[in-house]
Amino acid sequence: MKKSIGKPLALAAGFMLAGTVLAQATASADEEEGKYKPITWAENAPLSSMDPSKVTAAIDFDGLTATNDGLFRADKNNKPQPALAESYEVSDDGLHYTFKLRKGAEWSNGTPITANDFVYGWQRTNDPKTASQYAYLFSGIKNADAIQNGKEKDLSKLGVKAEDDHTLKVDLEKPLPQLISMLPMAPFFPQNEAFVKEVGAKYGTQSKYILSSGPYVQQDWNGSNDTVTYKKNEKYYDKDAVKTKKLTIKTIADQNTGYNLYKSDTLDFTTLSPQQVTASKNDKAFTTIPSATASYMQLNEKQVPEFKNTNIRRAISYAIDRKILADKILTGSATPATTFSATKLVENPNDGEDFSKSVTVDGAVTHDLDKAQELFDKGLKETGSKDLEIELLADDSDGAKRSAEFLQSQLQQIDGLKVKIKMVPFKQRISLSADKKFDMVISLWGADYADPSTFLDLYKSDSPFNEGSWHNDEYDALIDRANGEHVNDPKKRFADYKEAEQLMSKEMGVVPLYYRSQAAFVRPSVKGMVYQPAGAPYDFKWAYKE
Amino acid sequence: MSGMFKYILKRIGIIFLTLIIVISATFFLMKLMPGSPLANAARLSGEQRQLIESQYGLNDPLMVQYWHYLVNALQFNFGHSFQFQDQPVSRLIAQRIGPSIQLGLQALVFGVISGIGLGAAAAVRRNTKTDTTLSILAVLGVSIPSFVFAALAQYFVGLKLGWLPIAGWEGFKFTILPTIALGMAPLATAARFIRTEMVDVMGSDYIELARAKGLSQNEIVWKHTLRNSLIPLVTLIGPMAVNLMTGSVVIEKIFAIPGIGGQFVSSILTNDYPVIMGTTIVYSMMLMVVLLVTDILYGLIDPRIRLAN
Repeated sequence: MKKSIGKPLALAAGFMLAGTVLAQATASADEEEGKYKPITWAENAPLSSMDPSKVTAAIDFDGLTATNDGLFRADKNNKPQPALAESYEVSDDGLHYTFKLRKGAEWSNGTPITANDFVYGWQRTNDPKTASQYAYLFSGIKNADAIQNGKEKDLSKLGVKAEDDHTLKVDLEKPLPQLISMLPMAPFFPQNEAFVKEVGAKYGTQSKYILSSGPYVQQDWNGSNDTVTYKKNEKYYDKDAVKTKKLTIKTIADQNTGYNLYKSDTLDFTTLSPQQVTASKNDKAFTTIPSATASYMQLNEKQVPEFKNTNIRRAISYAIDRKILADKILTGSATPATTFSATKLVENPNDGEDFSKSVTVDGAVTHDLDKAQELFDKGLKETGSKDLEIELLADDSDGAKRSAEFLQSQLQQIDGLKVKIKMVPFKQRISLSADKKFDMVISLWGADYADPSTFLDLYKSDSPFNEGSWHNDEYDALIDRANGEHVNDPKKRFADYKEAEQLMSKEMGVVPLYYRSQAAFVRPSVKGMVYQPAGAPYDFKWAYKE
Repeated sequence: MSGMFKYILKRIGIIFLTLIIVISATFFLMKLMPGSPLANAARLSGEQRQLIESQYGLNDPLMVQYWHYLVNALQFNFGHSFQFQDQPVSRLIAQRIGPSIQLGLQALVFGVISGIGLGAAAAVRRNTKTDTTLSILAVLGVSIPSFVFAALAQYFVGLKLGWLPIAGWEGFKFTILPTIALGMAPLATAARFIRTEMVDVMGSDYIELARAKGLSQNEIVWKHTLRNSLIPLVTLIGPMAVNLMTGSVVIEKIFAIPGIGGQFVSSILTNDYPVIMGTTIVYSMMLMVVLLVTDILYGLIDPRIRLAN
């Protein structure tokens, strides 16, 4: 009897021991540091793919940006600067781009980086068999849409050609003013055809199945582990600019854990929760990282006829105190919005100001409860309704969850307006709003690239992302003009977008809520970090720790 | 022994059937979840989404998808993850299940052994201050959620005192805090259980007899009372193991342990069908094996059970 009980325990202890030995064996020793110290960074989710064609998660963009260069790379001010391209020319009609590639650039395996690597990478992303979820960015490049939807089977018909090893020609179906600002993004990175074909389906699934064209080479990622290291890429053409020899990225899903690890000097970076922000605002390490992401409410005119009335839409907007929402409810992760387009998106070439600031209409998106009531009463009279009861759809992501109850209490201050909340999982919110099955929904949109079109084109009346079905002919005409007549004239084009945004603010096509940002601790000795508001959140190329 | 062999064979048959039911139920429940498994679905128009989903066979009729899945799953081919593009699910699970199993076993061993010790101590000194204190501690152990205990332990022991690592998984030292945090519940359960059992046994006739025979207090406690109280505890270990598997999800997150828990939760949130299915199958297999093992153990320990079979 004694033995029978002892056995499973001994077995369990054996397992334990084996596990411990294994765990210790994988813990690697630190080596050379160089003049600058190694950096240890935290991400909130594990790396999921290092394939530029299949990338989706923010952390994957970070990993790919650390290990690659595109034709262009975004600098500190989020301006694209030539990287693997040395220079480029555009035809007058804006339809033909010729990029001159840098000579002598090499992959981490020593083979030269040539124009064909771009041709192959771009074709692979557009190939429907790859099932890339970012292929839509290529829309507008010759035959990209036709190839993606299978109407054109010949990949070589894609409007990208290698004229010689160092000359890349890109042909477009329509001018794409945002093309250059998209080039620093992972789906536009080069891919080494011989290497990709050699490793086949395993491409991008482990460190040994990727090649670097950029500042770092990745090590010891086995496809699902939580600690991934990056070493300086000695083959990188711009290696002199890379000061950090070793960069470690750890997955830390819990912000309290991240905070404790930061405080114990184990991490150089951690994001902060609203509670932590309140306690840490005056810390030297406190940093707000911008992201060109905006939260807004869509009012479904198809489901609630009253929302067709401009006064009612405006009443809803005036009832919301966005300052309280940003400061007290979403502490540290939001600033009050005055426009649909996010802040930190792009500079308006007409006045050199941040686009969102430059297009803000004074008093259009603000808090004024008396005005809200007045407009609401007027709107109800016009629509012939007595009162209004609506459902606010929100998802369980942190920002929306916190916002929903606050918005409900704000909106119910209007006499005659009742708001119920419907909270669903994120994925369900996405599908319900895409199917237009909601009264009012809290949405979030992050910029794809640094150009106003990434926001304002969404709300053209025929756009699938116009989920509220707001329709304004003048607005549509302005967007069309920006993409047509004025497409090759940045100043006129931005003027069109400004007018469109201002029209939308006055008409309240969507109800802007806040611009999202990320509060974090960044160790003050870490310098040179670049945060791309519309791209990879973290670019480590120039980062170093003293 | 042939009776035992037959019994095990029968149980394995039942496990296999249960597995098919679990696979089927999970498959259809999962397909009821709204939303697309594409990570970037929010930025794709309906048409683009359809095109990509058809590449993954997601537009096939449900029964066709189900049949493909069942046939593959029974050959332990769980397919490729959506979230972790092109990663075979079996590999994702294999790479992360080790820390989860290690943590669960350590917590179980720690919890049960300490629980037995504390329970026995309380029973021997029943109705004294020691007993009351231990009982209060046991109630606290059961009622304080493990994540609260984990957060407090991490902050005080890890950060403030610096005695143990705050988080991570780089050696035995790193496993101590999570093991204790996860082991608190089984510890408290085992302690309360053993105390009650022992107090019961101590009042029984054969203990009275042992006492009358003049056996020492030590002999009575260790040889007769404790040993007889341990038998029913074996039945508790099965459910405890299950609790540890599910409880470790939160503990893994707090201590940044590269286990399977976080991956499972995120697979559900992202509609990563192959990973959901694969992990469910592995979890339910583990659960059924644990239950089988405890049943067999129980038969081995208690001859009455074997006779009943």
